[in-house]
Amino acid sequence: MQSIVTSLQRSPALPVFAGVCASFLCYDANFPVFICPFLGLLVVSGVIFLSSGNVVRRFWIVFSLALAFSLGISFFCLAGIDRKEVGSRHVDIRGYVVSERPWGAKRAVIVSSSEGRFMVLTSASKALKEGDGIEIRGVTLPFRKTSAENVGFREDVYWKSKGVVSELIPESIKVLPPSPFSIHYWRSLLRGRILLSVPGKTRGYVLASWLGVKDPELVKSHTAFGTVHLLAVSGFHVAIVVSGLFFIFRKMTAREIFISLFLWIYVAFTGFSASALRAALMLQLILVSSLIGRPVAPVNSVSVAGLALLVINPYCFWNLGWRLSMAASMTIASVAQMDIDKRTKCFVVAPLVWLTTAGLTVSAFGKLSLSGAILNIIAMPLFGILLPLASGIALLGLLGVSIGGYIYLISEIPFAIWDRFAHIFVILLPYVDIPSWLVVYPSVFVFLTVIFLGISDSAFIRSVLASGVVTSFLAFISGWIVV
Amino acid sequence: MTTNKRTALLFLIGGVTCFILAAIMVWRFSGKFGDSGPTVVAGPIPVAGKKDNVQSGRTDEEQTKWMIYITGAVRSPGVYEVPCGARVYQAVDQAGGLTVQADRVAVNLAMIMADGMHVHIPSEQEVLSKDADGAGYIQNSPLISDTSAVGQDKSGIKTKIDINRADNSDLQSLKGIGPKTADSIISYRRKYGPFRSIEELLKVKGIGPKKLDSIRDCIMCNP
Repeated sequence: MQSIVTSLQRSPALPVFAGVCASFLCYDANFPVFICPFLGLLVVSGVIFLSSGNVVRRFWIVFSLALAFSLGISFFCLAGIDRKEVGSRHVDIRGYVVSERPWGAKRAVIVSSSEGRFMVLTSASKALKEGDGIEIRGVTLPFRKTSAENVGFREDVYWKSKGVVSELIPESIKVLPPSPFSIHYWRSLLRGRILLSVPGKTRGYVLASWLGVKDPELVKSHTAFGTVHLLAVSGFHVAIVVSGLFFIFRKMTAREIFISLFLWIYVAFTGFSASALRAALMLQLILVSSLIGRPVAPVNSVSVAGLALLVINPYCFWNLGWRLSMAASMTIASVAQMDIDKRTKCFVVAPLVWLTTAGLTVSAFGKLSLSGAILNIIAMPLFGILLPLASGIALLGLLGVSIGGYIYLISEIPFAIWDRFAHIFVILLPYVDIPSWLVVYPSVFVFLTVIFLGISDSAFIRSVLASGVVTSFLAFISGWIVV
Repeated sequence: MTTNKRTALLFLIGGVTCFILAAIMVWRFSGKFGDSGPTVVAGPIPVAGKKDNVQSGRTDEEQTKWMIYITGAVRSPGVYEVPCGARVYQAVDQAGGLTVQADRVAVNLAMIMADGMHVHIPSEQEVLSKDADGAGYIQNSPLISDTSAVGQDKSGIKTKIDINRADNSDLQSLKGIGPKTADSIISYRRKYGPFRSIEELLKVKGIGPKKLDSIRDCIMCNP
């Protein structure tokens, strides 16, 4: 008997994810928490109806479950946002530095303590580094709330997406010895070792792909190339690691268990960035599916990973990294589910990812790298080889294997050739200022069309029509809600 | 038309209807809950003495209610909403009126209040036990004197300096604050908007924990 599967049964988490995102958008427009999830229900129903061509067995049961999950998850996440407000008070905390980064003329340090995570602005001379123990006395200060209309940088949601509850104005800071039981201590140690022993561009790429630490020079050049995503630990990096692990454990029974273990160790070392966490959750679902012999549904896995991250930290929704990661992975997953030959998939996926993330990039930075559309077609497979190569060489050096400085030329030369080639390309197709309206809605339209084509059991025209309806809806409500 | 085609068409219509309903819902509800979130939009710094509420992103025309905290010799002390420009007697009315113990002479029932004000109605017993200067019946009131932020009004009642309204000379009247630090406070306020708490002064160049502690009792922060 031929099985007829609707999009709802193939990717039941996708409409739920769409409904939860719609609830968040309404919340951003100051709608009360009790109204937002109900608007989400209409979006869930709309997505299901537009993507389903027929009714099969248990359709209405799955439909009802999707509505119930959307309602429950939306309420849970939005209530979580409301609970996290902390007022101004004196604190005397003992904790450790989770991360530190430049912040204007100062350094912004995130300190984790038993009372939660706090952001502390310190002078660079304090030289606090990740993993350091710290004792701070001071006053907490809630972040200034910014509205959704404030389309620029939103400081409050930026920090809250990193789990920070409030700013802490220090009255006194005492640095304590780091704890060797903290992953941050080991990250810091590894970072120091890489900085001291790995030369040139290899060092920048290894730092980025192992620890999520970005070299400013590489960021500058990759931003111009439109390939800056290569420096943020994402599904691309996690997939390379998992592929390598599959190769290593290929003869082992229940290899999925070992791969899962190493996968999460890797994600912990990358600092649990939103994109890495999303990718790891998605791959974990695929590994579990493989272990229990269930078919793998990429779009469903991406949706579940996205929902899980929102449940863990609802402020992820406003994190640009999370949004870009979700858009890119949803595009890749949808292309993977499309009924087209593999060679075409490989060729179209990079330009499609560039196109579907262009709207987010332009609305955040106001600029777009035109060369990115083409360079990504080359960069993805090239870095799929170069990053493991650079990592392997760096690993030998770090393990103390006497290899001599020349060994690094194996990775340095290809990186230099890539750099020169990409620079020439950027001269031909530069990084341009572009009005957001020109890019955002076409980008959203392409994104939705790709998803509908990926999940839908119906024809191309119906998918285009469906994405047209949803894009029109988003364009219509953008007058009241910043989408 | 076959059943499958009819179902597909019905689903398409259903999907479009859902999105139309969602759009109508957004359109109808938008703007109705604008004041529900404590959203801060940095605006111009209010001039000392001006009775406005620009800090919260709302102008006098938009704001129609004030929140008043009333305590002491009233029947139901608590936080009440009063119309803008309300006088003390209106807040007393809302709180159920004065109790028999209230000292009707010690409080000026005709005084105009301000948003976020704490009104304390003293009892006769309380007045008798007060110091000679009788300070503290009405606390944190920016309207108690002609200028919103200065330390002493015409009747001699001590008030605190509001760091969100004080001008350069008001700030310099504080112990340890010179012209440079006063300028830094005003520059900070211009750059980032009103202070969220007294402790935020620690972020201003020239103010450390010790200096803050020395002026803490003389300042207030009316966001």
